[in-house]
Amino acid sequence: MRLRKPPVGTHGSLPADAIRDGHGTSGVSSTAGLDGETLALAVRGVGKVFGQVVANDRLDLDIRPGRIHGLLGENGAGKSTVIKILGGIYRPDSGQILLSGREVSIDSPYQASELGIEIVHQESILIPSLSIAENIALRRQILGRLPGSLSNAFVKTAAELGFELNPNSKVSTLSIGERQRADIVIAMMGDAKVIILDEPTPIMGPDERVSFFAMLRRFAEQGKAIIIVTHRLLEAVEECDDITVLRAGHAVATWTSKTFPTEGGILDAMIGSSDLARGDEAKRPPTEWTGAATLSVRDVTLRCSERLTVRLPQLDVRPGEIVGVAGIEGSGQRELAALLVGQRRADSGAIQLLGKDISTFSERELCSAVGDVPDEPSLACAAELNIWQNLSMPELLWQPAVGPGKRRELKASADGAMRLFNVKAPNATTQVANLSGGNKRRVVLARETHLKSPSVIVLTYATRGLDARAGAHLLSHIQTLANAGTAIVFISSDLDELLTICDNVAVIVDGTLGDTVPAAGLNQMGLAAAMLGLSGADTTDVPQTNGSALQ
Amino acid sequence: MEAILQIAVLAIVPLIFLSMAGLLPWVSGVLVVALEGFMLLGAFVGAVVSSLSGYQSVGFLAAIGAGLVIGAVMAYVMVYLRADQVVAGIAFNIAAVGATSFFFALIESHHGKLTPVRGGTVSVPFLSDLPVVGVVFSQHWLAILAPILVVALAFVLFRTGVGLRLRAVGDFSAGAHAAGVNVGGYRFWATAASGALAALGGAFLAIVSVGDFTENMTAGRGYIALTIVILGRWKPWGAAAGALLFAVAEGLSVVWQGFAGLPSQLFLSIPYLLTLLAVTASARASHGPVEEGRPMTVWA
Repeated sequence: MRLRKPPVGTHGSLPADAIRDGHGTSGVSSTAGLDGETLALAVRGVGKVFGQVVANDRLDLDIRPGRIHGLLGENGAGKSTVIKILGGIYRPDSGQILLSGREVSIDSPYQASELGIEIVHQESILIPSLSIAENIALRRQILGRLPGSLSNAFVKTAAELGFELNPNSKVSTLSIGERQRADIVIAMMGDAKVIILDEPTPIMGPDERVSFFAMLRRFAEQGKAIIIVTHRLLEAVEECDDITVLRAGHAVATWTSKTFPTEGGILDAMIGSSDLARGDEAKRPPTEWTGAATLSVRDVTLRCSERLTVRLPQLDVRPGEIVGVAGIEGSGQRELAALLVGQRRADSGAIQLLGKDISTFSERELCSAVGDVPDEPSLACAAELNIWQNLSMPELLWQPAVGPGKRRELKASADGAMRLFNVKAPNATTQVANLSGGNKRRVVLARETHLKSPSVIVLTYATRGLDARAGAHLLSHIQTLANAGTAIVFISSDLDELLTICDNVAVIVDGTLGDTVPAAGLNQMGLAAAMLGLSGADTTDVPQTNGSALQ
Repeated sequence: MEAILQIAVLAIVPLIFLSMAGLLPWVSGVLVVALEGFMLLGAFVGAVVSSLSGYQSVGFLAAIGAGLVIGAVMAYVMVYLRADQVVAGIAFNIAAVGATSFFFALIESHHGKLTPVRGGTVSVPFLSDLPVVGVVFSQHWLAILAPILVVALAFVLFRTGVGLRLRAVGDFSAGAHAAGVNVGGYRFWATAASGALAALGGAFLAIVSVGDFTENMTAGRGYIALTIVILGRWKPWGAAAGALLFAVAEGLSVVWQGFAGLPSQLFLSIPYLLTLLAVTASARASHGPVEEGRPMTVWA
């Protein structure tokens, strides 16, 4: 299946190159916008590399005063990095930042604020043990005696924004929403020229969002430039004047003055149409799943934090079935996995494993019945022990001592598993702490999916840290296990692999798991839209299943 | 009664200096276990320098200087080199016992018995003439300075921007960094100042309270001071009240030695038992600065 190219903006005066190809713009150094107006902020060819990960690569951004500019992109597209660069938290490896046409170097968060760039971080950076007023004093760099009237400007701005906040209340007593409001007031109370908000809306209610954007509009009308990071496409389309889409550290597309394409077009830019063309051939044949479920979840809820409550209305995994859980990372996948493997207890609802309530299983029974490959391999291995000890853990844990014969046997099977999963280490007595992340994952995978023979295996981001060949090998290994009757829960954010190996897919959005639908009827676009919590986007090929999050 | 008060005053002054020395860096997130060693160092330097120079105040100044230098070294190790604060502190304390004993013996073998200069007592007019409690107001000038130190520290911590920054650094260093605070600098200087204050407390113990230096003479007062800080909930007034409690216990234990035929060790153990009780009772109810003992996090 081939997706169409993103439509070019239809604004009459807009040149065709308004949609930028990230590779072609690094030489641009003009500070004027398309209409000749001075940009509030211009990012020119900014690059940032962490180890081997390229977070920003020759990134260009044009931020106009008086506009709300949406910054869109998948996780890992480089949104947070460029924001941290603008906020003085990271220094760019290359490129320039121009503020009102003047090149600036932003060396610290304080300097960013002095230059007139205020950031409302996703996680509040207010000091919890201090009051709001004291936090303001802290940012004002007051050294001597604290003045009594610090909070006047705060109270005034808070009232303008319609927030009820007492500047003398200690931040640790505020809810997450109140902390965010305090952050917003502090960002707005000065005369900042550029205000950047990093994913502010997920913790807001619907009414709150409406008044929030009305407020942003008022500030934009005062001539401030507002940048808002979001992964809610509809919100960006409705509320922003300009939108830039980041992918793999580039600005891959920019649309100005509300000349947006359809949501499908924006989504296409976010995901990359080249990525969408492959991976359709290897889908598993559709099967009618009947019979008793190995793992069965009903009406489970688990409150994890103020931000996140995991809700699993219904999930059934039958022998031989691979059920994919698709979602943007951090949507509650880790907690979901912990629930399914019996590591965490649900606040309410029932999880049945092999027909029995999972809480009735002993540690030992769980260990043999469930294969657990968590998102972080270090969670599943003992770093101080060596490879064969980690691989033999299910055997060693329940035995008081191991004789020399048994030890040889365990070492031999560990050697075999190491070869099969291509664990790169001198030998089986190498300490796991000395292995790379990818090799630790191979050790966990070898143990949980090969040495053990569990009834159900829960894998979270299982192919992460593996090279393409090892990833493909793992996927076929999982399919082999399923064909032999193992129930598999495959948690991933990779559309390709989800659609390749899963029989059925459910989407998790903000902690809530939707219905499972057959993977055969899905395309990547539809799945991506569902993962982004988007309804009504371009989701051709999506089956019309009642009550599905994938509609 | 006057004897108890006199002992209590001589006991409380080092504890005040010590607990303020513990509190200041602790608020900023640095747990200075090395307090004991700083104090012992101050006692040693104070006793030696005042004996050799013949001036008591030179002894105190030398102790402050030595405490500042060693405090700065420890601060560098714990703050910038990110050494484990507990391990570094304990290692330093063990080294301090050995080093001070060795060098004191060495110096005495050259110069003969060292006797720190006594004196320096000042009397507050009128108050020192009061019956019974008058003794409290006729004390060494550093004893008069101790409550002033408590007031000053309370003012700085809770009424000034510097105090705000110290508290911010101890609670959420990444946030403080974002607000423009030099996290490492505040922790470094709080720890160095802690060295100077603890050393001054040690010098007071050696020169005024005891009048001599003996091996490991601080006898765990540095650790007790840390307990006092916990007991006082990381506030100068609270810590001062805690110090008072311990000083009274010490005064009672000295006065009641041999009382009713009970072994004197029983009374001498009162402050230590009180420490244990205090920590047990307050452990659940309060928690210290969030970042205590953690290396700082500042964004790259």
